[in-house]
Amino acid sequence: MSKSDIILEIKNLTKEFNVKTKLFGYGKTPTIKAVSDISFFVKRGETFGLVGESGCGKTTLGRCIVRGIDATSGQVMYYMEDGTKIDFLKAKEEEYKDLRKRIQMIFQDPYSSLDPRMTVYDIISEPLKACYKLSKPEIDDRVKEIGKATGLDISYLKRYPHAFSGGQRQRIGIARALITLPDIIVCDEPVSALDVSIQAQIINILKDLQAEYKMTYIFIAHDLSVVEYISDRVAVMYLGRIVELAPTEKMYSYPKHPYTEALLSAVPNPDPERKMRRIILQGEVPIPSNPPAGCHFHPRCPYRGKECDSVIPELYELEDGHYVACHYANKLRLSGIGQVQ
Amino acid sequence: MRCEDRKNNDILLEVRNLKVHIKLDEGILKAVDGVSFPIKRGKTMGLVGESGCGKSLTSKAIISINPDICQTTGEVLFYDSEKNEIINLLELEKDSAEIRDIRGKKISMIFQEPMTAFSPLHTIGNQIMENILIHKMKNKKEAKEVAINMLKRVGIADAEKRINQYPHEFSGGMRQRAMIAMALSCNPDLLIADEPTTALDVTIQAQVLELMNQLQKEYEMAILFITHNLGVIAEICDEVAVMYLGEIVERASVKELFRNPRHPYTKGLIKSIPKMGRKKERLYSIEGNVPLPLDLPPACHFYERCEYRMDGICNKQKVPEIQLSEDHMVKCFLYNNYDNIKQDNYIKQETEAADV
Repeated sequence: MSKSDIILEIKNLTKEFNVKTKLFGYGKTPTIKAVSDISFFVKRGETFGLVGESGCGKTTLGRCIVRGIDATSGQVMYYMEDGTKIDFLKAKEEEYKDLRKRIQMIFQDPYSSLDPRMTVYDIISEPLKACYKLSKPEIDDRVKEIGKATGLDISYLKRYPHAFSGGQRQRIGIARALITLPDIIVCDEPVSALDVSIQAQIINILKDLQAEYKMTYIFIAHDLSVVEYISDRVAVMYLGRIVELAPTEKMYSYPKHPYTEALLSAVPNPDPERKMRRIILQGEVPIPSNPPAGCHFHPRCPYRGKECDSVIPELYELEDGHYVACHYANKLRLSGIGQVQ
Repeated sequence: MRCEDRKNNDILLEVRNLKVHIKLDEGILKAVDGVSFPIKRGKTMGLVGESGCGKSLTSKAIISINPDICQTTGEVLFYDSEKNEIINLLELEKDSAEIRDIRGKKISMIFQEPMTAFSPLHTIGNQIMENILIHKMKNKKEAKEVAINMLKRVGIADAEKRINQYPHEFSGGMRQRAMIAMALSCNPDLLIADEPTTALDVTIQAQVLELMNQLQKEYEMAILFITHNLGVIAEICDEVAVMYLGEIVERASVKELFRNPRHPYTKGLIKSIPKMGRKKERLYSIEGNVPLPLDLPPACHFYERCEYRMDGICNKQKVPEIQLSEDHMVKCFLYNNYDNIKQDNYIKQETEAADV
């Protein structure tokens, strides 16, 4: 694969949070590694899915990528069309402003992510005013164009967010992210707060917009069926690390990591006649401030072996494009979901 | 139906024409409007629907724990095996000794938010013991033993120590287990589970569902399972009722509902969830939004969003409940003339096409 296919490369990204436990900061302050040493790349025009359970660091990773929070260390390399690359995390002033336009974000909660005191028009046009110097009619045209594209009723743009339903609000959030015509949108659980019938509408809109505006999505979600539906490649996270990364079909049909297998088998299947073999994991996700030694997954892993509790497995390329972090990846025969055509 | 007829059959509880209306300044909000369904002994009945369809209010109306602003009418007939009689739970005075004797003992409930459903001020053990002490025994020591056994039964390790801990020391999944332990401590005939796994992660959800399945067999209790997740319904239920805007639009056994969904809303719901391992076609989506159930006309509430709508019929008349077979009811004009096989075949073919 040539370098020009890549739009974003994340290298050794780590984010630690300091937690103060003692009064006045005495004593040792433990750090929580929410994201530890993650590296992957995103191809131009694809949808890259990030899945994991709560607390696995997927949202933190997404926020680090858009510089919503500052990463402790690592790089987020952005590849321009002409092949030059810029580290977004170290970009200053002009460069930063330029990249800001190119990387946008959609948030999970359509209720708290919109300012209740701004009209929808102001919300959607704000990024435009911040990034470009445009005249009023130009802004007007752009807001209307994007509003239409996201399925908003243009005549309601002067209203405030409270007058809109959850699905409509999420469209406002999408319009706000889309208005600067970004190359990358980080979607942080954009449909998980919505009802099933509305969820399908939003997923369809996201797909349509991607085709129309040629965007790349980083799609963060915990719902595996939604991620399968929308993503080209998927990464599974567990306690701040990527444990498996592969093209969607490969991952879902032939998972290589025991955690992926368990996750897939745990998804309730909306078909009472096709029951899967279910792997019930013992225990719960450990606290990230005190993760288990070795492979973080080993206390819950049904296949754990000798070295699992002492040696941390590295993420490596097992097959073409299929990365996995497990000592036994090439020995295990794991079952995925059955392909039905 | 007279009491005698029902005593020996397998229906544990029957909801008949249940209405929960809420008076607001803007008008009467018909949150639940004429819901009827039976719950069979030892079986799981699922209530599925989107937010605001009245599924939670329905379940809470059964044990009369809705706030006073809700005006509840209808009948909730509960067969009390101990007294061998049928009681209409809605006739009992709110918070009277009779209903309190049933609540927590014969019918208990678990809630969606394991974080807020426990009191943060009392230990888990005391909260479980409270239920046992009220309904089962007076001896504290014995009650504690029962509580410890229950906690062990739901898979909490180190129950002797855990029993003295406060809810904040438990994780989400553990709290939901403790909640189940509390609900089952008096061996109820019916467990009402209001979105018990919605706040949990998939792997924990799988654990809790598995546990509920096991315990149901062991305790031979019926479950009323409320959720918005069709996958969970398919996983755990025997029968399903689909709710839309305060009404049950379709009711069938779980296999029948997924194989032969008849109501346009049910079909839309099933088609609009992405299914793993299927070819990726464009997702079907039901247009529009769920309207507010304020002053709704006595016609089909789904009319505006329905792709099979018939002007002059669906938006003008009261929709009949049509019994397609013994265990399949649908509330839709499309099946009004069941002789109208053409229409039906057309829809059936289409459903099959969508399945492939």
